[in-house]
Amino acid sequence: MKNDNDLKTLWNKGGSNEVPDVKELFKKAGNMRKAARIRLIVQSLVLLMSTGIMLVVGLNINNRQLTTTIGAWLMIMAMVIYLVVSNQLLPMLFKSDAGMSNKEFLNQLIRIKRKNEFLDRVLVHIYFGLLIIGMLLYLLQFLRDQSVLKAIFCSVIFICLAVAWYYSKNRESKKMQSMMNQTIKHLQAVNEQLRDGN
Amino acid sequence: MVFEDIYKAYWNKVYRICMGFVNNHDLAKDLTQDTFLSIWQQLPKFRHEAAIGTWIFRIATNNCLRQITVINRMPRAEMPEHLLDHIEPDREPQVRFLYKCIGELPETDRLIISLELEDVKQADIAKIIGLSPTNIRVKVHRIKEKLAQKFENYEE
Repeated sequence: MKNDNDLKTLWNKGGSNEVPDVKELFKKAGNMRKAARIRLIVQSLVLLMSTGIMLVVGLNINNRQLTTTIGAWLMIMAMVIYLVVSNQLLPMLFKSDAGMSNKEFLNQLIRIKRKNEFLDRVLVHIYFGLLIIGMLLYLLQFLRDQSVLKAIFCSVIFICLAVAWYYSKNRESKKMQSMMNQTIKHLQAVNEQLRDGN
Repeated sequence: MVFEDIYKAYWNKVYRICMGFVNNHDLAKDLTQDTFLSIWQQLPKFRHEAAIGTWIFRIATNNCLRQITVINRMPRAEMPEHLLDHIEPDREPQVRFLYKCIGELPETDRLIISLELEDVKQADIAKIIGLSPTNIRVKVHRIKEKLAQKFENYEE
């Protein structure tokens, strides 16, 4: 039978001889920060630019019809809802975990994963729904003169949106969804291990 | 304390805790690196309210728990072969067996016993894990009994 000291001796032999150079760590830190910053900036810029373009174009149309205005506002609403809900995750993601016990940290992980799951399952469809209806109403005014070129242009836009929506609902996405549910279940099971008396 | 000194003093301690959690050399090394990245980022905010060791182990154990989300993202069958149970080859069989036994425990028990074997006081383990000291004492006792039992069977 192993006593306490035997276990500790064996445990201490489990260290690694290959301690990596600290410079490697600094290099990794630099790359990670750069990638995260670029991703955030690009995502926000694309959505802000799209909103800006729609506002400028929408407001400068002569004889603007009610459908165009409603369409523009629906699309802007879709983007604002998406930005607001997804950005609610950011403070959670950036909150320091140094002061948290494992129990608090697990609870936070579960909250983040649930929010992520909601973003993937519900919000993405609200976003595409509003965007497509908005786009349809927005483009109605342009399609009134029955120009072939405009019809082709509008069809391309709708095909792109439909493909993006389909992609968000396809099998790969369902697989991701089921993995996310599994992760939440796993985290809850670990959290359950920390109930007093277990 | 300067970061480089912390790195030298704690690298192996953090690595062993990660190894106790994942029982895989490459994954444990990556987890250790991630832990030190967090330590480096958060060191300016460290207010000496807890001992530096407790603070470091708290980050390390939280990082191990975060690993659960990664494991679920990549099912075992899809993992690259070099990531499956890769243990440094020059380990004594008994050392390998100990880490294997710890790796088979429930997640929080792995962390509790790893901290105990790392000579962290039980009062500090309680703060790191978020349970009462009494609960930790009971759990440590039970885990040690389980390990002793496994070693008895192993040596027979």
